[in-house]
Amino acid sequence: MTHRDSPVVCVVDDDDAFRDSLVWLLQTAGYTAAAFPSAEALLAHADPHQAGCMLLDIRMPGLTGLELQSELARRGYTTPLVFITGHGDVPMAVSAMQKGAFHFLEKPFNDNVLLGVVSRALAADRRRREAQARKAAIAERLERLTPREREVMNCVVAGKLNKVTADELGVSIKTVEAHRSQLMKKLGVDSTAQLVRLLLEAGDEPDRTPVR
Amino acid sequence: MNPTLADRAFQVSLPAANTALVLSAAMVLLIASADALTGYELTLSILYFVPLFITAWRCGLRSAVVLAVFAVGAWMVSDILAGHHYSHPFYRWWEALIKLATWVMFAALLERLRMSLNRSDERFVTVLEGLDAVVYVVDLHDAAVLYANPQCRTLIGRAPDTAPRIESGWLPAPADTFAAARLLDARGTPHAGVTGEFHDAGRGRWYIVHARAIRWVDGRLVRLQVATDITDQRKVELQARERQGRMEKATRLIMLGEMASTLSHELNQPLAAIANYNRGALRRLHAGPCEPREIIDALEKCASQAERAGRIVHRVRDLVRKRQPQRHACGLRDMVDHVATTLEPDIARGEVRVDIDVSSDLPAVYVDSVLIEQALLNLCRNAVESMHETPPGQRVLRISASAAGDCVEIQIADTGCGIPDAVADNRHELFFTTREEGTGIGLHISRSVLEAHHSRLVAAHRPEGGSVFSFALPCHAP
Repeated sequence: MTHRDSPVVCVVDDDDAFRDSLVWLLQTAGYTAAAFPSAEALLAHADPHQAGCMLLDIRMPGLTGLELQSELARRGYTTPLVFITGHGDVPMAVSAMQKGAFHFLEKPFNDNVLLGVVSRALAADRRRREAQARKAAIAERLERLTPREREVMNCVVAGKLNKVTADELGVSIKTVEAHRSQLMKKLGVDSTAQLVRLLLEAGDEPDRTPVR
Repeated sequence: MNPTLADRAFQVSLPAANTALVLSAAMVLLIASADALTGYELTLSILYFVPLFITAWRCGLRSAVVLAVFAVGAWMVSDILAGHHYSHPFYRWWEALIKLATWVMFAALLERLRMSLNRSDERFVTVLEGLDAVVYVVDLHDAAVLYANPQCRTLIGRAPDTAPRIESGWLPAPADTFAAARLLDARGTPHAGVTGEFHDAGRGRWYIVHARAIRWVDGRLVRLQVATDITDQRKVELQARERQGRMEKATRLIMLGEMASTLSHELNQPLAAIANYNRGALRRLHAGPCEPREIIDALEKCASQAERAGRIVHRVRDLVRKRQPQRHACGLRDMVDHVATTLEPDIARGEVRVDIDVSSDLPAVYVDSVLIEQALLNLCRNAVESMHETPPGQRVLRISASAAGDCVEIQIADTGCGIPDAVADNRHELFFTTREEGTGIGLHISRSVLEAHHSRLVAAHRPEGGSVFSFALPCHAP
């Protein structure tokens, strides 16, 4: 698990010299880089859960950069993609951006610009991965709630008074209060406000459980 | 009654119908008197045919029958006055009846003959006058017009009298094309026809003209000419050629663009790699002490990428390496004609008169015809385009050549805007142009082509306005 968390910059370019020089530059700046001569090689060896970003040549024999982008999306990769374009490839770069690429660089580029883009891409990847991890942790805590606690939680989030909740669920106010303190303890929150924030962070979780 | 074609051909002036009838009657009376005087033994009745035929031909059958009756009456009176006695009066009447029948029969025959002649004449004239083409017949010797169809009259606005009147302003001069020597064989009899294409600059029309010598109805030698207006076909043809020229130009530009794009893409790879190694090495050196091996590695890779870029540049240079002139003996006239044909759309559009004074008798020049044609084409195109501001009637492109020792000297003169003094010196700079849409490459190409032939392009002002470019081409191998 740990090796996946240290970021790797994947370079995909069919030109050996350019690819090698780019890897060398990235290594100089202290990044771990992996080079692939073609889109097919990347697909064969890369790991969807690997932290990092990818630098893709937009024009390659075999799968082009744009096709590789679609294929990565299909396989569930969420890694930030930075396209490297040559002369006159701007329209292709624009369509790559429209499809959600992180950035594009026109060749030849300044090393500062490249390293800046790479560091921003890695930061974005880290943020995204952290958010994912938090989400997973919350989801795990939510899993520990009993169905009744979940119902009570939904009523609390909906802003209903304990009395109304008790009426709706056909239990006493005492029972509702007990469930409520139990679920707050399980989720590790102290207030209704914290509970709401937790659920918001977890995404659309409250809606997925029908409110009854 | 209309004069027939034959009448017109012979230019015979016949009296009017009424006069003819009166004259014929008088003639009948004269014959009858003579017949009476000579006595009945010397009969002159055959002479009555003369007035009778004239009447039948000029005034028709009905008048002829009336005249015949009148003539029979006159004959009877003269017969009686001559004292001719018959054994029975019936024989005189019988004789008169036979004469009348004979005369009427001949008159009727003549009428039929005239009618059928007229009809075939009408058919012929209808065909000739129904043609779209201009048809005219010209005397081979004095060029007088003997026949011209209505299209011909419409063309020049009145009845033509001589051929030059119809053909004025035609280029090339029709008199040369249709010289009697080309239409007649050695013995002076007509042989194969001649076809020529002419441009009537004044009316802006093009004609294709077929001419052949024939013997005219009166036996003299004439030239029958049929001129068909081909202006519309010509326009379509010119447009097609122009379109093709534009397409070829566009293709060349696209190819050039494609080549430039491929080249820049190819060069970009090693350049980007060099930049990366270089930047990486600098970063490592700035960061503090580092392994020299790493830097050496990067610098070696840099060098090999620079060599790769160099190889790409070499390859391109090989591709566009200047073609050495492939010299051989060429006729200058053919090259000039070829250039004029290529430029035809521009010439027609610019309403430029082209004046070519390049004799086919000039010695052959020893040049690369493709390159020299290109140089001529560029110079002529420049000349045509420099005349945009000149009034249409005065736009003349003159290409002339003359032998000068071992060379042939060529001059291309225009009546255009000329060369501004300030730029006369840098006229040959690459990308120099006086036109908005010009690239400035044309003149440069012409100059380098001529230099490859050890010649020099000289530009000068013409005192009467416009400019003249001249250069000499060698007649022998260097």
